[in-house]
Amino acid sequence: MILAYVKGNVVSTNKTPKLKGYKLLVVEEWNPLTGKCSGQPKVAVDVVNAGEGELVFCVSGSSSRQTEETDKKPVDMAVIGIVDEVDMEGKVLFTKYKKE
Amino acid sequence: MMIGKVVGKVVSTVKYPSLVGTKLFLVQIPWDSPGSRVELAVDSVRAASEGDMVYLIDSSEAAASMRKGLVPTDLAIVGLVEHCYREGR
Amino acid sequence: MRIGRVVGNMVSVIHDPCHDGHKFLLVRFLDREGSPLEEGVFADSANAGIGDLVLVSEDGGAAELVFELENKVCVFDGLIVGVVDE
Repeated sequence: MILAYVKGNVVSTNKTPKLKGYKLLVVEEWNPLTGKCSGQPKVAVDVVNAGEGELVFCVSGSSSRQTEETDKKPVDMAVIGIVDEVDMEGKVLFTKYKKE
Repeated sequence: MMIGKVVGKVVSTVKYPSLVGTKLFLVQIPWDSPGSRVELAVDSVRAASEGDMVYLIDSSEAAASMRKGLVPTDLAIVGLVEHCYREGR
Repeated sequence: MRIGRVVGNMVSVIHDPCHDGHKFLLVRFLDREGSPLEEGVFADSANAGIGDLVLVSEDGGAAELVFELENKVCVFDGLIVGVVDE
């Protein structure tokens, strides 16, 4: 699975009937080692109602069809969770709630 | 399968219902080259913690290791490495 | 199937229940010239040892058949199916 930032959403009218009603998001992979995005945006189906600017985690390949919403649908990437905090080697790399 | 090292964790409250209750870890793969690839994995044995050497399974078998219906995951920790021998090391 | 060389082994105590009783070996895949490529961990069904050249089937379904895991959960993405003689 990968960590990614939601950069925007996609609206599409003419699409295969099996994809009707899905929310599509533009996500960009985030590398926790460098703290930077990959610069290669991808489109993922959203099953957890994520919004723009949020750090999420995505599943790719056939595993992205392992949800009730995407089962037997032509999907190859799905947003399956919203990240609250990322800790690596004792350091907090990302937190959703600013501590004061 | 591959061997990796747990280097961090990810906290998430909003996630897909079948993933509720599972821990998410950042795993460095391969385990012996720091600064390589870091990926997010679910802990299907419920025993890993930061600093552990673990072995993981990817793609659709990762979902099977969770043993419940539909689980969206493409990387799962399926065991802790007790001992690992490699030629020349 | 792919060809690789067994470069080590791995022992695990806490693991997935379907891995009980299996031997796990570290395999380094080789290209046409015999130079090393990536490495993986595979269960062994051919009594291979360290240093052996082995045949690896990279398919979970193959492991399901060899280990007779029908109707059981199969958490293998491949296995060693043979030792190469020449």
